[in-house]
Amino acid sequence: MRKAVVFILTLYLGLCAAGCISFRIIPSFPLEGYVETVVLCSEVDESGELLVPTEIKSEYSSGDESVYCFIELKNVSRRIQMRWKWYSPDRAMSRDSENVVINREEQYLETLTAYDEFLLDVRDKEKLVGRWTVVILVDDKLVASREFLIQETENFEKTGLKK
Amino acid sequence: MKTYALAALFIVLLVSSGSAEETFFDLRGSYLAYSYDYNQIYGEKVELYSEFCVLTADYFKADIPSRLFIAIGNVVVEKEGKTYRGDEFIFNLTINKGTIVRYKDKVEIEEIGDQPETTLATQANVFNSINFTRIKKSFISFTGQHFEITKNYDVFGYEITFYIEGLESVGLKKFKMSEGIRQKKNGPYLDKIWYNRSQGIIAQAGLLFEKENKVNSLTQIYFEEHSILKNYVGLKRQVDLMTSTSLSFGKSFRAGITGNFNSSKQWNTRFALNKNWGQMGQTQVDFTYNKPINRDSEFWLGLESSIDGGKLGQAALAGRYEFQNQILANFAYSNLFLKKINFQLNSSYSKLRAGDSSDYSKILTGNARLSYESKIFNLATDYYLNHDLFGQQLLSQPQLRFGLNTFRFYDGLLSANLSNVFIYNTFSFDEFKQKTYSNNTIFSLSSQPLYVQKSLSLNFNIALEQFLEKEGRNFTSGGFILNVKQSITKGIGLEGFYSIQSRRKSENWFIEGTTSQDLSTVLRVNPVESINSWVSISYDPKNRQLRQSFADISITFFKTWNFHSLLNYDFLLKKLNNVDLYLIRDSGRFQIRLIWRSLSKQFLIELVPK
Repeated sequence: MRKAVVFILTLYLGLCAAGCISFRIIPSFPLEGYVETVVLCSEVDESGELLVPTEIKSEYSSGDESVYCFIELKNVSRRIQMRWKWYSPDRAMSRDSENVVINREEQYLETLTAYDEFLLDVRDKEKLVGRWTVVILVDDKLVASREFLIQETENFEKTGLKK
Repeated sequence: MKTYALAALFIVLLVSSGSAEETFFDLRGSYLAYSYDYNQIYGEKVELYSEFCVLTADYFKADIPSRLFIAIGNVVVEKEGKTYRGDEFIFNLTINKGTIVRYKDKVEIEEIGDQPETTLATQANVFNSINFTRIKKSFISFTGQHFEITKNYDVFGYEITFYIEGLESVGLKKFKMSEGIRQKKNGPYLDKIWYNRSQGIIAQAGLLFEKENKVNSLTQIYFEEHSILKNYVGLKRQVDLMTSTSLSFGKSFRAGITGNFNSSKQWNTRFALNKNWGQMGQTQVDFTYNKPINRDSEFWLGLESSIDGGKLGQAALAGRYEFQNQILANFAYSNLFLKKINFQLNSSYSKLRAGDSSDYSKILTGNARLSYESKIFNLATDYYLNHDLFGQQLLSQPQLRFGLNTFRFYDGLLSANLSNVFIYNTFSFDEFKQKTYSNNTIFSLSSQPLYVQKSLSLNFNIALEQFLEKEGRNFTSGGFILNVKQSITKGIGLEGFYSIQSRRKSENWFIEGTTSQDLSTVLRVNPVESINSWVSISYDPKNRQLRQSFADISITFFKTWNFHSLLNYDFLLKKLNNVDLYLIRDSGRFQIRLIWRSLSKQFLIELVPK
C-alpha cells in the first residue's frame, strides 16, 4: 500500500515538473440561457410552476389536433425574445410565431420553459403528410431545430405508431 | 473525494499518451466541453480551423463516434476564398463534406465539398441529445477554450479543467481526452511489458506488414517469466508465437499460411489455397501439420468445396486425409422442390486412431429429412443412421413429425397448438437386435389477456401430453396456469399466479402419479421512472406452506447512479438465503459496478467497457 502511495506521488510530482499538470483551474464559462431541452409533444401540462411536455414523440398523424414544440432554457437573467418557425415538407414556412418577449422584469430564472403550438386543423390534410421542420430563435439567432413526421391517419394506424 | 479524483485521473493518464498526431481540425471557443463517456463536444462562440474550411458559429456540437459535427447560429464558412452564411452547418468528417442550411421564408440547403448529390441535412437528429447538461453529467468530462481533433479522431485539450462526476478537479496543460482509433502501422511494435503477482513479467510484441489488397501479415510473440515468482508451480517461463500471412492474387484467388508455436513443444502450421468461383461456389485445398504434446505428429491434406447449383440444389463436400491413414469426410445437399417441399441430406464418415494404439474407430452417420409446410399443417420425416463400423453397432431411427400450425379463434383471444412425433428405433450389436417405438402427442390452448374490468385482466394456458411406447411406460400429463393482473393505482399493480401440474403413469392395471401446485403473488411498485421494484411470495396449497420470497428494488438517483438489490428468503429453512447489492454508474462508454454478494461474501468493483 505504502509503495503504491509513493509511486502515485512520485508520478504526480514528475508530471507536475514536466508541465503536464498545472493547478491553475480555468473557471467555467458562465453560460447564459443555454438550451437544456427541445422536444416535440402532443400536450403540455400547465398545472405546475413550470411547463411539462407530455406524450413526447416525433411522429404524428394527420388526424392529430396539434404539435407542440417545447423548449427549456437554463440560467436566464435577461429579457429575451423567442420565436418559432414551422416549415412544411416542401420547405416553405407554414407558421411564424413572431417574437414573443419573455422575462421582461429581467429576473434570474434557473429554468425557463416555453412552447409554441402548431394546429393541424387544415382542410387539406394531404398537404400535411411528410417531414416537417421547426426552428427556434432566441433574440433572432437560431438555437435549435427539430424534425418531425406527419403520416396519413390510415397508414399511421396500420403501422401502429400511435401510442 | 480528492483521492478518488486523483486515482481516476491517473488511470486515465496511464492509458493516454500525448503524441504528435496529424491535426484534423483546431477548435477554439469561449466555452468548450468534452464528455469522455459519450465522446461528444459541446461549444459556444466557436472558431474552427481545418484543411477543409474556416468556420465561426454561436454553438457547436460534435459526435465523434458518428464522425459528424454541427455548427448552429450565425454560421460563417470560408472555403477557397468563398464565404457561405447560414443558420446551420452539418459536416461529415469521413467524406469531407458539409451542408449549409438557411431558415428564411423557405428552407435553403447548399452543399459544400465533394459528392454534391448527397445531403447531410437529414442527419441533424444525431445532435438532439447533445447539450451542456449531458456533458457536465458525464462521469469524466473536460472544459476549456482550445480543443484539437486528430485524423485518428483523438481529441486533445489545451489548458483544460478535468471533472469527475461534475466535480472540478485539476487543470491540465495538454491532454488527450479521448481514446481514438488505435491504428497499428507497418513494422515492429511493443504492445506491453507488465508485471503481476500471478503471472510474473509479461511482454507482448509483434510485427505487422500490410499492403492493401495484396499482403496482410501479422506475427505476435507473447512471453511470461515465472521464475521471479515465489511458490510458483509450473514452467519457469512460457513463450507463444503466432504468425498469420494471407496473400491475394486478384479478387478470386487467395493463399494463406498460419503457424502457432508454444514453448511446451506444441505447434501447428497450416497452408491453404482458396479459389472463389463467384455465385457458383468456392474450393479450398489445405495442408496442416499438427504436433500435439506427447503424441505423434499428424499431417493432414484437405479439400473443401461448395457448389450452388441453383434449381439443382446446394451441395458441399469436404474431405481430409492424414498420412497415418486417418480420414474425415462430409457431404451435405439441400434443395427445395415445388416451392414447399424441402429436402436435406447430411452424411459424414470418420476413421480416426484410438489414442496411441494401432486401432481405428470408424463411424458413419447420416440424416435425411423431407419436410412440407402448408398454411394449415407441417409434416416432416427424418431418417437418422449411426453405424459404428469398429464396434459393429448400428442405430437407425426413422421419425415422423406432424403439427397443426397455431390456429386462433374468438378474434385471436384464444390460440391452440397440436403436434405429434413418432420415433421408431432399431438398434443392433453383433447378434443382439432391439426394436422400440414411441409416440408423443402435445396439445396446448392459451389465451390473450382477457379484461374482466378496466384494471383487472386474466390469461390462462392449458397443456396436455400423451406419451406411449412399446415397453409400456406410458404416461399422461396435464397442466393449467392462470395469471391474474390487478392494477391498483398508477405504477402499482398486483399479480397472482396459480399453476397445477399432474402426471399419471399407467402400466397395465397399475396407475400412479404426482400432482404439484404452486400459488404465488407479485406486488409491483413503479410509481416514478426512477423506482422499479417488486416483491413476490410463493405458496404450496397442497402442503399448505409458504415456500420462498424474493424482493427486487431498483432506484436511480444522482445522475445515472443506480442502486439495485435482490433478496431471497426461504420459508422452509427460515433464513435469508441471499442478498445481492449493486451500485452501478452507467457512463456511456463504460460502466462502474460496486457489488456485494452475501452468499459468497464477496465485494467486487468492476469497470466494464461497453
